[in-house]
Amino acid sequence: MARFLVAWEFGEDLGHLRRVLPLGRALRERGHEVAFAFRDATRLDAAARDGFAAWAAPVLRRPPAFDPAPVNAADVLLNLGFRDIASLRGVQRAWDTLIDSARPDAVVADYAPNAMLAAARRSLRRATVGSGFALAPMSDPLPAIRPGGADEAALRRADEELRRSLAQVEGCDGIPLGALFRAEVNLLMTYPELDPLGPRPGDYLGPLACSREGLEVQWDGSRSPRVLAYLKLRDPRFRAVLAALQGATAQSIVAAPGMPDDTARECSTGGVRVYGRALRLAPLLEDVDACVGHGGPGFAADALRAGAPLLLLPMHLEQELVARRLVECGVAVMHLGDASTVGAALAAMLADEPLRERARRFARELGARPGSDAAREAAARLEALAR
Amino acid sequence: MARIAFAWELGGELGHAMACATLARALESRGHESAFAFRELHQLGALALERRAVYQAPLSPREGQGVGVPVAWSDLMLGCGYADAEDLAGLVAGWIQLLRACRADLVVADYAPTALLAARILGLPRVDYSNGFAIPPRLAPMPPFRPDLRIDPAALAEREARVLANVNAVLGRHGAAPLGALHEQLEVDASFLCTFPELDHYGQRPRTEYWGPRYSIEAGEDVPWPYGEGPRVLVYLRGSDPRIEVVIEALVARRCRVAAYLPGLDEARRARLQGAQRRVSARPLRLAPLLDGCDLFVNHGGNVAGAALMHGVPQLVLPAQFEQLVTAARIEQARAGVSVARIDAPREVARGFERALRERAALRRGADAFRKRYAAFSPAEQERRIVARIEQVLAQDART
Repeated sequence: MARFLVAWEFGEDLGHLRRVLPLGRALRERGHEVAFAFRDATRLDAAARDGFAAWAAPVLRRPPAFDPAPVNAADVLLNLGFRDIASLRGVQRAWDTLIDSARPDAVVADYAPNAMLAAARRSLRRATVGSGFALAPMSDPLPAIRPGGADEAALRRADEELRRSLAQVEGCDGIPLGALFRAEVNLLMTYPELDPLGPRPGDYLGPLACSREGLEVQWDGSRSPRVLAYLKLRDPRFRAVLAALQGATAQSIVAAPGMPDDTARECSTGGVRVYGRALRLAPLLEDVDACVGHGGPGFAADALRAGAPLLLLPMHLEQELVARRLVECGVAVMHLGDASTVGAALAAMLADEPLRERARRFARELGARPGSDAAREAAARLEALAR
Repeated sequence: MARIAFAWELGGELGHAMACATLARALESRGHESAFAFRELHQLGALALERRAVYQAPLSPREGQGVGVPVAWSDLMLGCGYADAEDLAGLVAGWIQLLRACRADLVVADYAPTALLAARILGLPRVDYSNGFAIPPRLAPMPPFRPDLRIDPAALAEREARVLANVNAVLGRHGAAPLGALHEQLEVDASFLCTFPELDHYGQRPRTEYWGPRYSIEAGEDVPWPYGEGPRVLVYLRGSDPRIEVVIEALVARRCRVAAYLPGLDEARRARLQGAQRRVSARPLRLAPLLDGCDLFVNHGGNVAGAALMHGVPQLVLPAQFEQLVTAARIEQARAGVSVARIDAPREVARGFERALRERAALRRGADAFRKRYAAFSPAEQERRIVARIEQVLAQDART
């Protein structure tokens, strides 16, 4: 029996939860003890209800300025608050307290560089799980992550600045930058085609199964094409996507978690039904013709398995990289523009028969891959680490 | 010996953490042990809490989203995770986790309503320890704190009912009895309302014990007043405040002697302000000696404003949030300072600065009147009584 601390520090959406909870359950099935630390403390009850120890992850202070175009993984961390030495020191202190309390044998990080750092300082065994974005490829300097690359001087500057930050935190001086991103075991819980920094040599265990939780809704009986959309309210294009779906000859189901119920009812007109909460996707995906999302790897994987082509509207770099990968594979259309052209993009996607055929073929191919339960497989690998 | 958990969940600035750390040390000197759960961790370096457990307080990452201008307690809760029972359940779970882990015998809540809910579920004795804003009157419905706004009582009642329903849903999950009214969320074994009636955000309340303001003026870096002629101005502002530019300009133009602590100030501005007559400290200042010779104290209206009043020091208050806005208004009412509420009006700040300097003799009379009214108040005695009361609560709990 070993004790695992599964830590999620960055990334605000449900994808992380959807990954780490099944992983924790799989570890527990194998007889291990699991504690969670979540970035979003409002999600802790999902773990606590299931009998897990559930901690609020220490959070860095939000930086006053945000660089919209970070050049590499080091730059992304600087963007997320790693310039702020006082905050970094405080957060490391709080991870120490948390680790002292949870007493893990190994730390499993799902985009949790501060947990990785604390575990490295304390010589704990470490692993990473994720969709690939947090697992920076190793090179010196850390490689460019934006489409189009970056000049080497800029990459070196970002690395150097991150090193300077670490050097000012007790016990972190001399810890190599790579230790923030990579561990002894690094599990890619995604398909190579969905890896925003891939494909690459690595342990692709595949994405986790579709969430069993959420509100259960059904398609109506009509024969019009079925579009499933998973959208963020904070995307400025949200209303335009809704309008485009309402104008399309399709029936659409839109999950917009966080939208108040009465607003969702008001938005449900034409062939569109909007729900302000997470939906149970599996039954909907069985019979879907196309999906609309932002490029979150979880929903994208669901759509790929269902053979549905995707219209993707990325909101940040990770989603853009995922979207670009899927466009390369010929199974998605990416929309990077403003709201005015969303309607045309949706209409083009729905009319694109070859796109749909490629998506179907891709799903068949995924189905033929040697499959296993990704969570169980990951648990077995992590168990070997803690032994 | 008891284990005491200090919880600071809401509200910004150093005041909460500082006050918790100070009280914790007083309790530690009596043999108790302390652990902390703090909203913000970047201030730890200034608090000298080495070798103590410090946890991250569970917070909603979506604080303040999707809510309008808060006018009452229920609005504050709606903006902090109470709009959704599922979210609130998560926050409560986080608090339960950490209170159990540090094996707390008692919780000291400094603006920590969700920690109070968790303590209630766990059956832990609890006290609150904060200012008037964080300890609203226990009334049903809970009174608004914005007398300046037109408030629709029916809509407010509806929001309070929503918060209460979500709180009760979470209590129910844990097998705890539901609350009859939202203010019961704040039921405690002892309430340390650390303010004076004149500074109370909710106005004077009947049958309430005021414990006097809490401030810590003895800890920090010793910086003497610079030698010279100009007025002595003490400055305690966030370096990122948009009004800082005007303040720096005025300090330089008026040749003030300056002692300043401006956390987060950028290097260019620091360089402009720093000079033989103007000292900018990288750490919090020991305020006690500085307040004695001070002509004007420029601050946001946090705990330090109370300290200035108790020392008869004129103030220019630049509130950065609603809680401070009310304090600023109270200080103006006491004729002890000038308040500039708008953060986007540099000329008003400049005029306020000039007015405060010009009228500082009159403002000092206002502050002095306040100081004399509470001449018997002693922070050390306040601390001693709070510690004694906490020990009483612990002893009662041990007996039951």
